Formats: sequence, C-alpha cells, structure tokens
Amino acid sequence: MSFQRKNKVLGRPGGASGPAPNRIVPGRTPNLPGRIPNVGLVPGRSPNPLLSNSRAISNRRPVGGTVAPSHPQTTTTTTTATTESETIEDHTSQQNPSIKPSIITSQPTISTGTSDIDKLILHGGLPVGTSLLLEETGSTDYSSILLKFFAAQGIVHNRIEDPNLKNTTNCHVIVIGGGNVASWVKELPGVYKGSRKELKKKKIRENESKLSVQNIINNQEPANPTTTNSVNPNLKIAWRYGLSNSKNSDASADAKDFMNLTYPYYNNTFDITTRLIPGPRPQEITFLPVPFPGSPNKPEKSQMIALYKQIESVVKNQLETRDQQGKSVNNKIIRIILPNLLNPSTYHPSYFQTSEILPFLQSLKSLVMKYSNNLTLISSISTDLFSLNLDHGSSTIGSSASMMKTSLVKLLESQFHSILQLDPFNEQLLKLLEASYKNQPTKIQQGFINVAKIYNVSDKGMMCIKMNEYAFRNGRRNFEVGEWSIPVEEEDDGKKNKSEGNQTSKKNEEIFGTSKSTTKNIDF
Amino acid sequence: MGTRQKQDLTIFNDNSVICPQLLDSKIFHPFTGLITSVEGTSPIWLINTLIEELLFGKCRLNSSVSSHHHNTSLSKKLDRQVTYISLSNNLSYYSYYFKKLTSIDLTTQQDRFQFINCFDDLFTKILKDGDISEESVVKNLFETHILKNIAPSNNRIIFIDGLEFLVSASNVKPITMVKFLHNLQKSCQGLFLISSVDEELIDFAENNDRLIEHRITQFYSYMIHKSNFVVNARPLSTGRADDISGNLRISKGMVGLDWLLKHPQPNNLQVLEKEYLFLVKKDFTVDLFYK
Repeated sequence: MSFQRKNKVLGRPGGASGPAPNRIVPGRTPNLPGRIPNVGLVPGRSPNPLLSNSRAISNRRPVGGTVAPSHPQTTTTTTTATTESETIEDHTSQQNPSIKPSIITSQPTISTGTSDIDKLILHGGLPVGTSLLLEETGSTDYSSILLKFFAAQGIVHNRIEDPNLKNTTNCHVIVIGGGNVASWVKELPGVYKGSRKELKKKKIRENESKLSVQNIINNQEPANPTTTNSVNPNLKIAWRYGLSNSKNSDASADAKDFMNLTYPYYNNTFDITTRLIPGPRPQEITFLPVPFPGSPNKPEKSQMIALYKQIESVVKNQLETRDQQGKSVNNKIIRIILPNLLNPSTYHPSYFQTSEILPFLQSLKSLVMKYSNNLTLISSISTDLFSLNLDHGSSTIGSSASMMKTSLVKLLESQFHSILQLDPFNEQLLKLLEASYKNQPTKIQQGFINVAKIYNVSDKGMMCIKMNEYAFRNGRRNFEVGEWSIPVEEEDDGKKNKSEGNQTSKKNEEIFGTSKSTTKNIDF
Repeated sequence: MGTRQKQDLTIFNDNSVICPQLLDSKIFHPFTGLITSVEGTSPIWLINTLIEELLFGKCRLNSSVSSHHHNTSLSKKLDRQVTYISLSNNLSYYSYYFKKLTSIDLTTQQDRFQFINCFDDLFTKILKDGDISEESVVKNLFETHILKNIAPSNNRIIFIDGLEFLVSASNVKPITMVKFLHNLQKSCQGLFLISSVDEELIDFAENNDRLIEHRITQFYSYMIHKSNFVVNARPLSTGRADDISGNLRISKGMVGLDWLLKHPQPNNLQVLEKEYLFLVKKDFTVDLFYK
C-alpha cells in the first residue's frame, strides 16, 4: 500500500497512478531532445504512451479548445455538448433572452436588475404581467437606486451581442415622472466590469494583444513554440492543482450553473459608481411627464386617465413594432417605471385625491394584466410623505390627519401585486452596527427590507408577510439583501467591565424595544 | 399543528356550508353574506370553496368529501347559477385559482357560471373618459354594465368583489351603493359581498364626510347591517407562522335568518359562530382547525 502511494502523483485529478507527465515550469523548456513531441490534449502536456490509466486524460476536455479530439470518447462528449448548446440556442432564439420561468408558477419572469430582490420576491424575478411597489420610510432614496437597476437591466437586454439571437429589441422602458426624469435616465448605472485589480489585469491583457513592435518582440522571444503562451497563462500552474477543473465542469454543473447556462443574459450586476454608456436611445426608452391639471383641453375629465391613454398607446406601438426582417416583435418586454409616486415635486396636489390617483393605478394594473406576456410595472413611494407622525414606532391612531394619509397608502397598495418595504435603520442602530462590525465594514447593513405582499403567494392566502426578517446593504457593486440578526457588540480588549456591557444592552433596548433585546453580554 | 385533527368548514347549524333551505326561494327571501379580508391575505380559497359548494353541492375543502364523491357530484347537475361580478380582477385570475383548488375549469361552465368583468377598461370604456361622477357610475356601470346583463332567477347566487373600491375611486356615495345592492338582490336568491377591510381604512370617530375614511367606514357599516352572516379571514395577530396562515371567524350579521322567512313558521336555522385557524399549503390545499 505504501509502494502504491509512492508512485502516486500529488495533485493529479483522479489520482491516476503511473509516471508523471511532463511538468511545465515557467522558464523551463518542457520538450527536451529525445522526448515525445507535444501533441496532447492539454497544450504543453504530452500524453504519455506509458501511462497505464489513459481514461483520466481522455475524459478531460481540451483546454482552450484548440486541439482536435483524438479519442472517440472525447468526440462523443463534444457531440453531446453541441446538441445541448443547439437546444439552448433554439430556445433562446425563439423567446426573449431576458425571460426565465418563475420558480413558483412557471410563468415568465424578468430580472429586477438586483439578484437578491429577485430571490426575495420568490419567483426568481418579477413575473411578467404583474406589478411591484417599493415603499420607503425616512428621507433616504434607496428605492430610486432599485428602479434605476430595473431600467438599466432593460436597456442592457437590448444590447445583447449574440449572433444566435434574432431579435435585437428585447425590451422597452417607459418612465413616468416629472421634469427631472431626463437626468434620472442619464444616471442609469453601468454594468459591473470587475474589481480594480481585475480591470487592471484586463487592461494589461488588452495592451499586450495590441499590434505593436514591443508586443511582437515579446511574442517571438520564446525559443520553443510549444510553450503555452497562447493559452491562458493562469492555467500553467492551475491545471496541476485541479483549479482548471472548475472551468471544465459543463456536464456535471449543478442547478445554478445550469440556469446560468440556460439563461445567460437573464441578469447583470450593476455598478452605481459608473454610468450606462452609451445612454439609452429614444428607441429604448420613452419618457412621459405627469401632466399638469387643466393645462391642455383634453376630452378626458381626468388628466391622469389622459396619461394612462398615452401609456397605452406607447405600449400598443411598441408591440406593433416589427424587426428588421419585418417580423412582429411580440415577445418584447415593456418595463413601466413610476418613480416617486405622489411626490409633490412631480404630482400636483389635486392628484393626491383618491378619485384621481386610484383610477389611474387601477387602469395601469388592468393594462399590465391584459398584456400579461409583455408588461411589468414597478413603482416607488415615500410613505413618510403621507404621515404627519414622524416619530417611528409610535402609534398614529387618534390623529385623523395621519389616519387619512395612511389610508391613502393602503388604498394604493391594493393596486399592486407585490409590495416590498424599505425601512432604513435609525442613527442609533447604525452606530451600534458600526461599533459591532468595526473590522468588517461589509457586514454593516443599512435597513430592513420587509415583504408585505407577494404575487401568487399572497393571492392564495398564504401568509407571506415578513417584517424585520431581512436587511439590505447598498454597496458599490450590488444591492445585497441578507437575513437580519441582532449584532453583538465586540469589544477590542477583554478588559471592558460589566457596566459597559449593561450600557450596551440598555442601548439595544432603546433601539429594538424590550421585546427584541436578546443580546447577551458574556464575561470570560 | 400537523397532529391536530382537520375540521370541516360549516357556517350553519345544520353542518352545511350553504344551507339548501336558504337557497329555496319558497322558504326564504334572498340572503346576504359578507366576506372580509385584509391586504396580503386573500380569501380566494374560501370564495372558490363557496362557488364549488353552490355549483356541485360539495366542496373539496371538507375532509368528509373524498375525491370519488366529488367526481360523482360533478355529474350531478344542480339547478343553480353563479354570477361573479369583479372590480378587482379578471376572469383568468379566478379561473386559474379555481382550477388549482378544484381541478375544474370555470370557463367550461358557461351555462352555470357567468362572469361580469368590471375590472378591465373600467375607467376608459365602461365609465367613458374617466367620468367618475355618481350619475355616470350608476348609469354606465350599475345599470348598463351589471344589472342589464343579469337575468333574474331564483336559482342565481351573485358574488360581488371589490365594490368598496368605488367608494374611494369615484364620487358615488355609500348609500347609492346600498340601493344598487338592493336592486341586485332582486335578481338572485343570495348575495355574497367580498371586501378588503384594513384597519387603516376604518375610523368610526371620523365625522367629516369629505374624508375617505368616513365614507369607507360608512360603507362597511351599511354592509354589516345588510348581511346575515360575516366571514372574516385575516392573518395571525402574533405574526407569521409556518404552520398557520391565518384566522377565519364566522359571525352573525345584523339581520337574523328568521327575518328572511317568507311565511312565519318555526325554523331552527342559525349561523354557527365560531373561529378556525387555516393553513394554506404550497399546493393550494387548505386545512382548517378549530380554535
């Protein structure tokens, strides 16, 4: 047993016994005189005829895909892979690449531009033919970021460069708002391209690939053409340690990878510090301003109904649009965005009457359900605008004015299929979090994200109201949603006395209230 | 909760969901039932159960009904008609959930099931150009769109869903709606009012009739005073639980059942006031437990 172990090559996948293949060490020429020429599957590595267990290598896919398969077994694998890719191609070419079936109902869903929100609404995205309301308390504007992600995702779906996809116009965005919407559109985030390190590496690689005298000299420098310069240099060592296997795992990919393979264009990660370049074209986005009451003499008695008719006509025009080959683009997704609903800077005070805003929202809901294969609606509202009581947590019952405002929000909620509530943390809690996660700033969350209503789940009568169960964090790269847990304040030195611990627990009580203060201070 | 015994849904003291006597126009005047819920806890399973009970005489919710009995009852054609008027959703919504619960396609039951869609194009076509005045609502919606499309029948049961929406979205007064309901009752033997009642919308202390809370509260007061029984579905007050979806409370309305009797005669029919806990599972099967 010990003899066998001696013959084993460390780090070889499968643990195949036999003599070690030619190792590639940077700076060393692998092909020495008298050795077998390098014609193996893995560039820079020769298949050794003395190798007793050839299966280990025959099952491997050629790295870089440059070498033709030599074994029949390998040929079969490649054929299967081709068939699979053809199926995927056919699938995506027939339907919109921005669509994926819902996990719950199998109906088409689209990404909100934030993968964690997609997961939170349980369907894996926003089901087409439904609407989502984002409520936000406080003076922050996180919901606006989410709406920008939603819009940017639609624009990015229009710019998919895949020759296999016939339709190039996959999506259209309709934004309804006030005068500042033009600037809102300009602020759409760009697709996340990687960290600074990754970007630097990419830049170097791009520079190296450019045609210049220096690059040509550098390329001619290696004496032996069999070296693996043409292949990803990272793989030189990685293959020995089995790291390259992660890139070869197509047949044995798990469900997540399968979904990514099947729906490669479904969602993107956006970087809020960058801008979408080039900006949205008029063919990709339509901006409709909220009309001023009584400005133009229109036959409609309500200006909001006139606005609805405008939206309806844009939707009809978009769905009648034909592609370059003259085919009807019926699978186009239209994303309707209503940012800052009933914000006084955009909406005239007369629209705050329920008899003005409710018919408009009801008509929009009906339109979205009518075009259940094409339309989605997302809106945001600041609930603090409709509450006179600014003190969070205290009861508003008894004040008729505050009751009136709350009832308006409640009535608006009835016109949406799904509702999420963003509740940013107060200053005290933020301070506590900062103190608790001094050394882990990425763990500091910024607010609760509550689930009030989920399409199909709430409709069935299943209880899905989740309050203070999830928290969000808006980072540069993404909008993260994670499970909320009460932080435990970590002390730098263990000499802090008990009285400080009592202060912490008192602080927790102030922040969470008596029912939630479960933090315990343990003395070691 | 899984170890507790599942219970049957009964509303009346003869252990029935809907008492057959109550559907007899020779004995009783048309009855009114009020089904209330809150936003986020839809009572669609309860509505579907009632429709199933009325059309087929049995409902799958009750454990005593095996699938075999259910299938045989399907062949048995009851001489009843159900008309569903909705201001909150379209037919595909209801038929989808009805099919999920009962495996029966409502769209194939056209001879017995009528759907009046007041949801699509309400403010564009039905109420032309968004005219929300009381006259327009009464004439175009109540009379032309609804009442004219319902042929009076003693075997008809009408469901009306989301009528409270008109209180907030139009200028129609709650008392006008009561008049409309009274007219609607003339064309049927039973009326179910389905309404979403959230705490934020009710304020009995408010007297200003220009405020929406006052009008909505007034509307609900009228509805309770008109109903013979009230079924209320709401989530647990203690918060979300994995094994319980909510609370179902059955209570008497303001109008006693003996008031509906056409001829004074001894009748013991009563509404059984009780409370259930309900659990809606992922596969849309519902379990009821006594509270």
